[in-house]
Amino acid sequence: MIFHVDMDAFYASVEQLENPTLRGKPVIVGGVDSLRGVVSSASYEARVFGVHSAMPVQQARRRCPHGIYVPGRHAVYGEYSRRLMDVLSEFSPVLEQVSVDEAFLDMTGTEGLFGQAAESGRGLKAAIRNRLGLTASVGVAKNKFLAKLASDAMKPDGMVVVEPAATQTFLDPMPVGRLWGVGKKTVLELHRVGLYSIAQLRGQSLEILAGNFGDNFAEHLYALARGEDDRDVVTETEEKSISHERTFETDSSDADSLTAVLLDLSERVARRARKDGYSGRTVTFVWRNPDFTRQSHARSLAEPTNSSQTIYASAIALFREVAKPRAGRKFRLIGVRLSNFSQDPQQQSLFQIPKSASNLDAAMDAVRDKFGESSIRRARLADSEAED
Amino acid sequence: MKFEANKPVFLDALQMAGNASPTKTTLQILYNLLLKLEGNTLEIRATDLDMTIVLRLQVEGHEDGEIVINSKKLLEVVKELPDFPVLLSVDEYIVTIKSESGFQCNLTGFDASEYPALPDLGAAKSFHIPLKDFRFLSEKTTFAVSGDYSRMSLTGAYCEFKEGALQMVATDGHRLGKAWTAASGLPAQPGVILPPKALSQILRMSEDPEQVIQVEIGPANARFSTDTIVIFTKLIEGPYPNYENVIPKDFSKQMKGNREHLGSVIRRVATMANAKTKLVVFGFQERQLALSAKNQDLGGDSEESLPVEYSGEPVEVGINANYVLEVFRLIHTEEVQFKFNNPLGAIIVEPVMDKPNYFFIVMPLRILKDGQ
Repeated sequence: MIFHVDMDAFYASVEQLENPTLRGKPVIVGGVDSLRGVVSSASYEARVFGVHSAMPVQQARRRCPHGIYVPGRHAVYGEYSRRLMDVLSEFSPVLEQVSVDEAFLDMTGTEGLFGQAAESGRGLKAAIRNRLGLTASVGVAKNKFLAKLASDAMKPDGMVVVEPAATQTFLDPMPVGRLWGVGKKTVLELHRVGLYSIAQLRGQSLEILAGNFGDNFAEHLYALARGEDDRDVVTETEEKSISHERTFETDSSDADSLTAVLLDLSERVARRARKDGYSGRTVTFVWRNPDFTRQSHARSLAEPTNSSQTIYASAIALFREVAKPRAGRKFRLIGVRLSNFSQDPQQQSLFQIPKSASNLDAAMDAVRDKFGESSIRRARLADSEAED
Repeated sequence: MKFEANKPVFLDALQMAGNASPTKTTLQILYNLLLKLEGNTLEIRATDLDMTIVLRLQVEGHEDGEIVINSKKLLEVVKELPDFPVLLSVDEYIVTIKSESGFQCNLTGFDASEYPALPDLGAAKSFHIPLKDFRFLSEKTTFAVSGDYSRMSLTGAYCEFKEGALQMVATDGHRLGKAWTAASGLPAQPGVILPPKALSQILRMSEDPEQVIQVEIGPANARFSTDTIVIFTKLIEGPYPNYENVIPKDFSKQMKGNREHLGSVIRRVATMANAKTKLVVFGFQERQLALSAKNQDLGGDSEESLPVEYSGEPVEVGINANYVLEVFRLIHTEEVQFKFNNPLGAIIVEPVMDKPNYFFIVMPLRILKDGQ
């Protein structure tokens, strides 16, 4: 079972906890000193007046003139957040922190320790209240999507368990805007074709949805409307990098075969990057020594790249810098990593990689798309065994 | 050593020499100047080992000699002196500076032999060029010199004789500036890469635009000289990338517009552009150019269109507005012209005139799906 834990009016509650004179009063935390400030948190007493987070503070002041407006103290909230995560990590090691006051826990297999879902949910809430003095809302369901909806269903200080059998009853009446990944624009498009509730969306065939929203997004909507979501609870935020490694059966110091492996690894990394539409600015050569210690050597490029040739050239330069000072140095594992992905609009350069090289990348990608990853290899790698 | 110098002339020379002194170095001697008196000629020398400036000025000499003295201190003292003649004398490494105001100070100097020797030019080829031509070449190019020291060759301006002209080009890969000036009778030479620091000092060699400078190019160093100033500079090691190969020769799209009008619209629209990328989308259409920008951080956007002459398919190109505005400042014709082939390729930006002798290239930004 997946738990979603969401603190109630987190910043405002921390302020009320630390300053008893604020308790029971409408407290608004945010950019209260600036003209353009927005509300980052409002206590439930303030929400009665229609104040909510992300609202301009100016507007909040009109709606709730007698509210108590305090500037945010993020260092303090960070400390509470850390303590919250400490508490949660005692319940399950599979913990994904989503934001300062929100986390998913995969509680599968903890029944023996904490009891059934409802029981462990109550235990969790009690632990947060006792250790932090704050309240949280908890949602329990078979996946992240449903758990998040569940935690939101009875705020504040609520707990909702969505049993697998009750999934559809829980979802059907909700508006389509509650679906993960569906924003204002998509809501309007769904409304345009007459779909307002999740039940209505569920009534549509995949083909019809694909006609309106494209294959990928249609599949996404189709699955969510049925309460299906296969995202895992990811313990650490995924490092934004692409890497490939190879471990040798016997530690190797042979420069020729090592560079051939580097070429293959660089190509795999570059291929994945191109496939996923990434360009990275940093190339890292990673290795494991015969004594199993892991090390790395990295370099940043002037421009982000996903070209096989550029990644290989950097990897080989890094490799030589590591290998050269100690002739005969042995490696147990070597790898190539591309990271520091560029999200900016890409500045084009006069001196791009030679056209022939990028054409080669494109041609090899096309062949691999059609015939599989090992269908084409560089002559240099022709003798090496395919490992796909 | 002992001499009497005119204060403003002496101060000017010290300031110019100070430009060659390094601001930070591990070699202490470089914080000093070398002063050398022969008859009525005082030579002031400063170097950071990459560039050396030698100035000659007329003084009233009393006793020949030479001394090494702290550059900053000497400049600081002379700056504060009243406009009376300055008397400088050296006795056993003690430099004494006196003014008719009654001021006197002493400063310990060092032996002249400790100062770095002048660079050896080796086998050099020589030519002459009016300073104003050199200024023209330098102004149209040095803005594009790269600051990325992992590609050393791009950190200078490339200078070569070609087709009866002296050409200068600089690029950081994102922008390029190229200019040339007729220089008949010059021997064909392999190009050299000049550091921007030296270029900016060469431009200060004289205030007289008609001043002609002598240029001598050796294998590793170059010397630029007039009667009173000599500048040595190390050349940046090449090869310079073959930039000509990447400049398209034919263009399927061309736009002509009024430079000032275009510039003011770009500046207005760019107020809402992303602060880092300065991305403005140039929508080239028949008869008009539609400019737009978005700023996701602020939740802002902007747009404005203006009439232009355009031939080619309608197309949208993302460009860093600052790159365009920067080259507009270097163009002096009323009309400018853009020439390009596709939204990701080089865009030539040039003056509309008979026989243009300079042009610029701006490389576009790839526009992401949401126009950011």
